[in-house]
Amino acid sequence: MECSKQLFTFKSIFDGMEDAVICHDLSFSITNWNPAAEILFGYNSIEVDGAGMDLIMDTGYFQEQQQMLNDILNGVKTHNFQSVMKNRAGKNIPVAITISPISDESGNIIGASQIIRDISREIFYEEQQATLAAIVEGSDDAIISKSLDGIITSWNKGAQAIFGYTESEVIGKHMTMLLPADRLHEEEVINNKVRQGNRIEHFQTVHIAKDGTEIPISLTISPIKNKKGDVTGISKIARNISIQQLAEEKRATLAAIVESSEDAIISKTLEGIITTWNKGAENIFGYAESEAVGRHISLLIPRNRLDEEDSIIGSIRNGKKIDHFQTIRIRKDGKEIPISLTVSPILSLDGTVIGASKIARDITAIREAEIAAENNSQKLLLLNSIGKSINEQMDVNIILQKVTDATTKLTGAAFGAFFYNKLDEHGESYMLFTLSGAPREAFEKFGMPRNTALFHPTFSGLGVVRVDDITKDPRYGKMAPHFGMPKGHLPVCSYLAVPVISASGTVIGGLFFGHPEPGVFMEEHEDLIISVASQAAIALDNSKLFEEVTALSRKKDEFIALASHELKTPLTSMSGFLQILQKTIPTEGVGKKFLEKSIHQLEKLNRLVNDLLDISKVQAGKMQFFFEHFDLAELIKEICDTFRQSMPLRDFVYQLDNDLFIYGDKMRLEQVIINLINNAVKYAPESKEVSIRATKNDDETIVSVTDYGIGISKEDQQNIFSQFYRVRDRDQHVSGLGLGLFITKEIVERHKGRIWVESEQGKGATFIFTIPHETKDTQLIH
Amino acid sequence: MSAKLVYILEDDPDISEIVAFILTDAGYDTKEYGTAALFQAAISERLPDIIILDVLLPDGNGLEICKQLQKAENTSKIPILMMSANRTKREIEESGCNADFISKPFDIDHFRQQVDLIA
Repeated sequence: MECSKQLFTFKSIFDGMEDAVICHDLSFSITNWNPAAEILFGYNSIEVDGAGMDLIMDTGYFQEQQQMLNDILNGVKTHNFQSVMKNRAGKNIPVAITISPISDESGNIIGASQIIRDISREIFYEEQQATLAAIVEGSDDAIISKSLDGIITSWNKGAQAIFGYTESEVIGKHMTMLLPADRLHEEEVINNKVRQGNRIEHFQTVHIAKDGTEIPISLTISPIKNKKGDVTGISKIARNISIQQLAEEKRATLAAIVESSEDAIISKTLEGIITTWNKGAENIFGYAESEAVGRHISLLIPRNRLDEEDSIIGSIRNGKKIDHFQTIRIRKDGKEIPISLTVSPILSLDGTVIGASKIARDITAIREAEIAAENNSQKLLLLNSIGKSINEQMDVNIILQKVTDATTKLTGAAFGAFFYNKLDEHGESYMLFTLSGAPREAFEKFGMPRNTALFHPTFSGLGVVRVDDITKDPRYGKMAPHFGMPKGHLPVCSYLAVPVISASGTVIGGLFFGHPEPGVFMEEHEDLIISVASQAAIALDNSKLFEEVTALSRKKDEFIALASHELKTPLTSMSGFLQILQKTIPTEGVGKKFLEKSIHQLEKLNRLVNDLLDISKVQAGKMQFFFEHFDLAELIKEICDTFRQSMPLRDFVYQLDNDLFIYGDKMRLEQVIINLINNAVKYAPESKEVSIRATKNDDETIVSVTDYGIGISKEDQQNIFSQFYRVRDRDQHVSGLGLGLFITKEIVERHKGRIWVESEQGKGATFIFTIPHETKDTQLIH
Repeated sequence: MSAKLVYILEDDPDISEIVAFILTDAGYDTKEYGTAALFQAAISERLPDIIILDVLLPDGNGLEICKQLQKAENTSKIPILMMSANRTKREIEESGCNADFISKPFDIDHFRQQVDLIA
């Protein structure tokens, strides 16, 4: 009885258990199967009576059953062993198994009971939990939970990364540790909302990191509810938006730059449709943003430059940038303006070209500055060249023409003229000198400009007259008979007149410029012309001086010619009388000797006079040459014979090549050789020999005269051919005017030859000259 | 055969005297004239055999006189010797005057030879 009552009790527990309970024998034949097992596996107890345990599991798991059975046979119990079983529908069910032995009266184990708990829900929660934990841990956002009174209860890695605190540093601390003092109130507001079950999304605020930096964050705050729905805590997801903010700031900065840029910054699609248009573009091109966006870029392109856009877009499509492309674009008002374009491709995130940005700079000012600079440098060049060319000039007419041409060009005048300040016999007209920009007839028709109120200040040297419109000037039109410009006069509206004043202060004349349009001449032109005028005045002064010098020089030459003639007349008669005396009075001794000496001195005097005459001829360019073919050898022999006769104590030695026919002025070359031999005799009084050599090569005939005297220093060698030069040491005792070698050199050079001296002091000197063979060139010259 | 007649046109009396002296000594008859006018007058009365001409004259130019003489039929054959201090033989030739030339001052022997040569 006692036993059966116990049995019933067990039976009732067995049937009432939530967990499935299955009993089986040692060979896994099912002996008992409770209702929970029926529900879990879908088989009723009759169906499974005597069936094997392998009915409710896969073979793999059945091995675990045998292991567990072996364990209990060995006295080892297994609790909550997790395995997988299978229900009738074939679905796997995760289970926790607790297995216990079943023994008979004598204590032998005859089977086992298994309490099988379905743990599929637990596993689901577990996995869900793990997933959430992984998400929380893996999030870059800070995920923090706190209790309702603000104590931090969880702290993920993201929170650590953003705020710098480790989990252990913050758990249990109050949330306000992250808040700036001025934002503490926010926490209260948020908490109140969340306590009422509300969620707050994307609330932007600032938290403070461990190192004190303020971190802009975006908060999402949710209530944590228990199963009953009561709010038990608060979760807080904080996203660090510093980077976003930076990007936003960057964008705003760029936008501000674009808007404030003076350059036009435009973007367009690859099809050329304008998509953005900044203030600079409005200013440069004149279209408002609303007028330009959506229009085609050809709006700005001159018709004849439409091709440019194709090539620009072509480059852009290939991802190539265009830098500082200088071109012309059209403003809204139709005016063409020079611009410098920089066009860059706009790339999408994946790198494809989706459009173009275009920066256009208005370079009108730069262009104008360039042109102005160019103009200025041209003006400077011109000024320079005027200065140079008029200074090189001695001819008044050429100087004035150059000045007139250049100043007309400099001022941009349509016509310019230089009037020479010259009074005619009536004391009022001026002489027209040079013109530029208009034919002479245009001026001559009207005679000379008269001493009108308008011209008076210029010719009186009172200063520059510059008028924007001369016909409106009060000085204009006061003179009879024309009362203004004569009919048919060059159309002058802009007027500029600058006096040309010499260094002595006298007004040489005036430069006048005219242009048919008003206001052409500027103040800068005045300065330019004044500077040219002063240069011109100097050049004119120089030219005047030059003319005076030329006239003086001519007079000097005339004087020398006359003087030499006048000197020669008494010379001739003296010479004649002395010669007659010598012949008719047979004087002996002292008388004869003195007569000879007198005659000799007269010859010397004659040579000096001849030299003077030659010099005046050389300087006047009047030394005439008569070229002919003659035998130089014969000439040298004759000269030496003459010298031998007059100086029998000397040796005149010559050494001559064969065939020394040359082309030259025989008389002048004779003069050259005589000069050289005379010098050799004169400067080497102690030595007996003078040697003369003449040789020729392919190009020229070379004649040398050598003495064996004291020689000539290097310094003297350089100067010895100069006019009036005398060698100081030796010439004190030697007569002469210092003209001989100068004339000699002149004669040789007129033959296109060269002359030089070779000498060592104490070892004599050799004078060498060359006469080139006759060529076409020399013939042309003579 | 009578001595040849030489007209000397030279404005400097000393030089004129020297020339006359040399030529007289050499057996010529000489007549001296100090101006072109006197010389022209003499020519129109009697033609000389030889003429000695200076270039620079107070009332004329020897070169011009030379050319006139050579142009005129009755005087064109008369040999002329030009004398000058400044001119060269070449300049005389270039002036179109076909005459002999001697430069001043001269060697009296040389002068005499020159006259003998053209006489």
